[in-house]
Amino acid sequence: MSRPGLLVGLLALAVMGSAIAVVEVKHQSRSLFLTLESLRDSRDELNTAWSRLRLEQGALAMHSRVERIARDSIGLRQPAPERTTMLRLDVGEARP
Amino acid sequence: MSRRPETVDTPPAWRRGVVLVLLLALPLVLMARAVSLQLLEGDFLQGQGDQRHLRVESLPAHRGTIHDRHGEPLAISAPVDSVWADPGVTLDEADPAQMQALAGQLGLDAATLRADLEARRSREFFYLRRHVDPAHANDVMSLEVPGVALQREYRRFYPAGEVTGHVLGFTDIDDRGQEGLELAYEDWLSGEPGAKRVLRDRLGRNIEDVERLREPAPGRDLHLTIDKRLQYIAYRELKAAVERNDALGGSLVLLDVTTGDILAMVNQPSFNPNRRQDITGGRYRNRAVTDIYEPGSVMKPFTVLAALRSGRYTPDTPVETEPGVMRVGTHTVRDVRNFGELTVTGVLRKSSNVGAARIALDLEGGRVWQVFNEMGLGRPTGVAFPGEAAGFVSAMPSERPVERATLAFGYGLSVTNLQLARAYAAIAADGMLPAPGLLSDGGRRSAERVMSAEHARQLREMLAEVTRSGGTATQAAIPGYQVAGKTGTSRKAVAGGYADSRYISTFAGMAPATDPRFVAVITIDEPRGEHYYAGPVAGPVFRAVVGDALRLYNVTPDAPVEEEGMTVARGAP
Repeated sequence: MSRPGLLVGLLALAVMGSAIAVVEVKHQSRSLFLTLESLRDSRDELNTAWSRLRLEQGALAMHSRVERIARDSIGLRQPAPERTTMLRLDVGEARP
Repeated sequence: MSRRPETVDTPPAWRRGVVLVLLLALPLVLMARAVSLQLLEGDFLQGQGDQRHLRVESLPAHRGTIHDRHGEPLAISAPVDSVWADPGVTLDEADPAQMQALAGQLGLDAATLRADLEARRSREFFYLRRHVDPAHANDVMSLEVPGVALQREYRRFYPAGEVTGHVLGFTDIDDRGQEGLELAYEDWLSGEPGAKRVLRDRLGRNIEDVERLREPAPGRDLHLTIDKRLQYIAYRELKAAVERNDALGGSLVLLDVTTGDILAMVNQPSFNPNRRQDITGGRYRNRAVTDIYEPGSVMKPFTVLAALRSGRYTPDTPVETEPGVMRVGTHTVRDVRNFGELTVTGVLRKSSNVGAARIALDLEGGRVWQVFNEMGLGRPTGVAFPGEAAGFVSAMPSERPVERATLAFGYGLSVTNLQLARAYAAIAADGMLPAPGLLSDGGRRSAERVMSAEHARQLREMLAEVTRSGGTATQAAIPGYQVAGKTGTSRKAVAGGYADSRYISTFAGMAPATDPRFVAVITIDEPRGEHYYAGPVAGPVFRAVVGDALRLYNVTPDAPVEEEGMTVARGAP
């Protein structure tokens, strides 16, 4: 075969190779994008779950609820002044 | 073509030519059409095709969370889904059973749903129901109704509900701030929505995410000075007091004395920002900042301050209030009864109008007015809350004796609760007037000196008498602590004068009196119960709220312990 013919043949092969490579890269990019999207979805789902849990915690820790339970179920109350003992930490005595 | 030499009738040559030309023309026509489609109409057709398939979807940005001073969340944005439909597609493709099921899931009537869709047939987007819980939205999607899809959105939730309603305000359905801090810091809290390109099929289902055009930029968080625990206690006590006294409303402000941090700010009546139908009329007004009123006797300490400044008065200077009535021009100043001769301290303890008027008239004109101005009354406090009222103090001091006398006991000016709390904070902080704020990240003006530390201390000593036996607000006393404060029961101004039996009862106070940590102002609007004097009406609220605040912040009791029956254990640790 003549030299120009060889060159054209090689170039044609290169073009074919590059075309296949383009398809391959495009495919990879698509599948990576899909992975990225599914990761984003799971991030969003986790965020949803987290804010739901925070709201749930907020509802359970509502002061009115805590107070009611403390007062009614456990019978806690604030001590009267006569039943209070004040501890005075005297810094001067503590460090001679 | 076969050759038959026997046959002589050879077709004429032109027929062959015609066939050839026709056959050659066909590809030319095809090529011409291709050129026209590709080159001449290409852009138009491409665009039309893409419109049917490629769509840009917006990605909502997460709105910033609002935290209290300890990092507890007060407002959280949680993702929700909105169900929407392409009306034309849904009407054409969905069978009646599916429509029925869809209507059932969305809590709508099937006939109404059909009518709604029919009315919007020409559109491509119609919200069926907004802000659906994600789990429920999945149920709706599992029906697989053609043309129905979900849109991710955020909904604002307020875990503390009514307790923080007025301070935080609320957002509308599109997550834009409408009131309160949500409105004031809208730009800070809201993010920038992102966008992505998606491929959709004929029924409006997303087949593929093609690319991200823009990442959503989430909003920033806001850290407040509010203490959720104190806010709750304040809410509970104020609500109880308003109910107990059958009042129209009320408000309370609790300030940290030195920093000016607003620890609690509550109002009655209140609303639940999580339920939009609650938000009606004036319920969402943050009265502590937006409503002004004539303060009445709570201004007397500042009249006394003017007296102390003149150098002619000390806390023990006698003031004659006999016979409990005094005529100033055409106006009569009255006390509740004849107190006889009082000291300056006594004028505050008994809240004698005659005494305050006599002191004010004895001073040089404009001195009381000047003190009120220096306390920041009549000017916005700089708290950056939407709708903050500036209050009112006359632009020039009045020379008329009537106005000088009435100003001395708090008429002829109007203030907001926050302004009053700030002015009292100056007494509490040894004369430094703080800049109140709701945001913990500072950026506030520094406190300015408005009175000498000595005068502030004298005032606190005098005001401590108010909550002791014989004062007007014994109900505000907190066991274990000394409380300094002042009551005010002012008549409401109505058209043509002052109403006879409509009062505003105020208590402004601080504790512990020897070295104050908290200042609170409580206002009860039109108490219609057994009492209307501020002592029994507003005093108990102060005792409960500030008492708990002192306990929660571990403030050392300053009252002589023997009196209170407390035991003191002292010893080497």
